[in-house]
Amino acid sequence: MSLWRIVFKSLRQHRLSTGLAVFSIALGVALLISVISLREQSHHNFTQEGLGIDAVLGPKGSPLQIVLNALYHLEEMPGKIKWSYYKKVIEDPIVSDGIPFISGHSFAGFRVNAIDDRFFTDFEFLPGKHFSFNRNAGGDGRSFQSRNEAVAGWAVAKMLDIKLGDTFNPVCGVNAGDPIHVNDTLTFVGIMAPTGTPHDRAIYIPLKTFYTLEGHGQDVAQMAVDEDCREISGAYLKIKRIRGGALHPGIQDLKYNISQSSAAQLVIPTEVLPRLFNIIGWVDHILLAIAVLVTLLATLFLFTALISALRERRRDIALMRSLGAQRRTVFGLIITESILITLLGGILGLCFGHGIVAIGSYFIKIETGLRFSAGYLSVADIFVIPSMLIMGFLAGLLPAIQAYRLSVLKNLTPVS
Amino acid sequence: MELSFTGEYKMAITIDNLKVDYCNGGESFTVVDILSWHVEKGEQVAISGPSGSGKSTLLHIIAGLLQPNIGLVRVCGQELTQLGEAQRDQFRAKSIGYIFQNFNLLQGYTAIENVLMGMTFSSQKPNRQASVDLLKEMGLCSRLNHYPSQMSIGEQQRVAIARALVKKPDIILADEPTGSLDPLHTIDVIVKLRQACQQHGCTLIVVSHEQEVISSFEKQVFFLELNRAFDGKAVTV
Repeated sequence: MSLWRIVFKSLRQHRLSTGLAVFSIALGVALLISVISLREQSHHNFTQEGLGIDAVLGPKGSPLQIVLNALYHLEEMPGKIKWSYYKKVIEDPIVSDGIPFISGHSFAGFRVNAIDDRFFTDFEFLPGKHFSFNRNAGGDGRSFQSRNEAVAGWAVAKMLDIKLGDTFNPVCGVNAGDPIHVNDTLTFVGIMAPTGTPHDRAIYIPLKTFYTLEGHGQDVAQMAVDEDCREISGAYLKIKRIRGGALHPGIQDLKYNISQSSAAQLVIPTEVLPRLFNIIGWVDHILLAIAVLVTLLATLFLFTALISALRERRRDIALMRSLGAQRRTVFGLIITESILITLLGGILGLCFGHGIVAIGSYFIKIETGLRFSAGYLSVADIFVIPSMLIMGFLAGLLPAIQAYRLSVLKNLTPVS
Repeated sequence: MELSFTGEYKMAITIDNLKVDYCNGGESFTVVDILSWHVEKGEQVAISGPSGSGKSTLLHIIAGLLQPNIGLVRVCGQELTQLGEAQRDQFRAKSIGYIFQNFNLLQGYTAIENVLMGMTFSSQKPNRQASVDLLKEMGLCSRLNHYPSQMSIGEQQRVAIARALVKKPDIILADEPTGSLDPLHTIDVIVKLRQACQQHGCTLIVVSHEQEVISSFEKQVFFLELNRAFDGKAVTV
């Protein structure tokens, strides 16, 4: 009988405590893996990519509020900017393109943004990636071409089961109870292929449709034809790049100049989003702390399980010693058991953790439009197995020392 | 240091000036005190005596489980008092088969697994067929995959005998092997043990306080309350 078989026998003999130890370790590791994976991926999503938007031209107010509204379709824009000012900004030599939009409408809980139709052709939602209506990619139909047409983001279409030809009436506002434009029925002519960005969670209508919606009043209707009085919520700006792909350094001057005016401000998402991340960072610190705590508790549970199992096995170990097992052999048996349990828990935890990310990313994608990958390898994935080996060794150390020091004669003294 | 027990020897056990003292509450008392004792290779010896006279302690010393305070203990040509603990473990794994009165078997292991366990620590390749044959020899062919809790005490003792024999040790030490058995099974177990030892060429030392067991051996050693050992014929007191 091999020593491995003795180890597996022992694990099987104590299958309840072994199973519970493996499960609790797997739970702790799964939490660690999923929290760290989601944290790293969201960090990447928030801070690295900026969702393909170099800068947002928005009204005066909180830059964070502007980013949340323009990029994530959350919050509300703190005001409006003049079309004429937007036109002036996009003529700056370092601005290569601009896509104006108007937010503030909604339908069934999703934002309805009025936007320039070049959004679907020229806008890059991630570097080098344009929106698509390709069926093979999950989209359908086309972009809007007339006043009463609309396009649904992938997540909106999925959540509301929207099909081409379906109609809707936009709500004038983003809060419950806001009035509905009952006489303005728009038809969905396109469903965007999924992008893994918050743009999947919005409905888009032509920019000019906004001005002509019934109930907006004469002043707003006038904006459709008179550029001098026209207002927009903001604009996505594409800034020229220098060698190496970095933003043109002149963006800081542009930002300063715009901020000196009373008309608008230039917000650079990659500057603002880390601040947002810092604000909400304590949440994932707490989650991380909980995950670490669960893992440590699981290890403590394993330690107590091994100690109590050892109490039951004193006679068995003494018997093995009497059969010639050396002290270091029984020490090794206990350490191996402990390491096997943590290793198994670690491997299961890895699987569970990525499972949680897979399930979570599906809902996160629908809820926020952000794309998370279950296959993403975080720093936790790299360290989990070595960490489990160390924890297994530490958890088994004291029980193994006890087994090492166990007195054969005291535990096997025959009656004379 | 890897031990080698391949040397030829005539005496299975040689004990000279052996003394084992125990300390209890600062008071020291002698448990075993043997001037000279020899057991020849292949001999079968029964040791008897009152409780606490040191019979089991003597077996522990021969098995290398306990180190004497003073004296020479040579077992199978190996001077045990000069070996470290790990080396004595190695020696025990290879050369000694130990049978206890109770708690003989590992409860979570079947009869065949318990027997195979006898070879695990002796660096021998586990020989399942040899284990099965031994269990059959012990009349346990239908009990191979039974756990100790599914067997009678007598059957368990026979498994323990098979386990002690499977690694082909030089010496079998049996400490009250029939202490938990009824008289009918006592004789059965002892007969089987003696036959098996004879067949496998093992030296057998049996500690017992049962008269029918003692009287079945030609060579008998009586431990006196004085903690001195002698046998009627050959032992120097």
